[in-house]
Amino acid sequence: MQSSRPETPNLSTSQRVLCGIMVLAAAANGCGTPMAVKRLSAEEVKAQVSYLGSLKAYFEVISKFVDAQVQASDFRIDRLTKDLEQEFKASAVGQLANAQDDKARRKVLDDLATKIDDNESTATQQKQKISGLVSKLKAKQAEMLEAYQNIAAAQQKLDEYIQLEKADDVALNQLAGIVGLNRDKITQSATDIANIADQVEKLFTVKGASPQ
Amino acid sequence: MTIQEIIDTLNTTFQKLDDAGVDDATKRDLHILILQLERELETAAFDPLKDVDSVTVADTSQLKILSQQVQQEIDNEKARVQLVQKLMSTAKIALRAAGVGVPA
Repeated sequence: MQSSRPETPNLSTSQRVLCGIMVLAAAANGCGTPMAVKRLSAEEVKAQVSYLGSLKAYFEVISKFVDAQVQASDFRIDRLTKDLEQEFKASAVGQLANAQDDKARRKVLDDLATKIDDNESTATQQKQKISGLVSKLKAKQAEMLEAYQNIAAAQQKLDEYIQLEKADDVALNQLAGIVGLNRDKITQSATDIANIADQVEKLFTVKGASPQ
Repeated sequence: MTIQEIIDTLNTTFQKLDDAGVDDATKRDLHILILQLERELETAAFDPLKDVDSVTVADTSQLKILSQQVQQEIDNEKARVQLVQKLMSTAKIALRAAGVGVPA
């Protein structure tokens, strides 16, 4: 029956030990980016992209609501402007009835024309003021959205780097393949060696001797 | 006193004049004033939006520049990986040539 393990290279014992030490040293120095870090980074990007979608949808709802309010407000302003015009006209009719001469009648009509013009002008200015304030709101929303898009894009770029297979990862995997060791076993061995070193140090300390 | 409170007070006065059967230019002027204030109230309802200007948004201009630098690091790392792979490949060929069995 054939073994599923990779073919062990034909190295001498001393060569194998040397390679093993090199691999363990490499493993101890840098094991690439830990999986927990990669997973958190990927999840954070997903959450940010999802939140960006929520933010866009929310701002769209707010914009629609504000547009509806502006429409209703414009309608009321127009209605009030017409009511005012009617009042100005009714007032002018009363004044015309009491006017003594043509000059007085002319003045009443001129005043009425001015009041109607002013009335229209005021309504237009008021509608423009509302429109300007709403534009400010929409511009601020766009600014906020753009800022968040930049934040999410930066996080995506960071994640791209975090998920990247680093050169030391590649080197370690290749070395591990040459000496026929599993990468996980190398990492475990490095941990075991560190534990043994700790125990040896404690043993020397208990006996009152320095390990040096 | 708010615009709404002023309108309410003027409306009460107007109603009193109406109830008293007064119908002269003064009553008409009062009605005009009420209508003008009601129209003003429509505009005032949007006044809180003036504060939008004071809302500061985080400056993210540096993020774009720094992202470009990270992209450069990504490209460098990819080049390093390619180099390591090439070195390993060459080393394996050399080991095999020397008669050492190396897995593919």
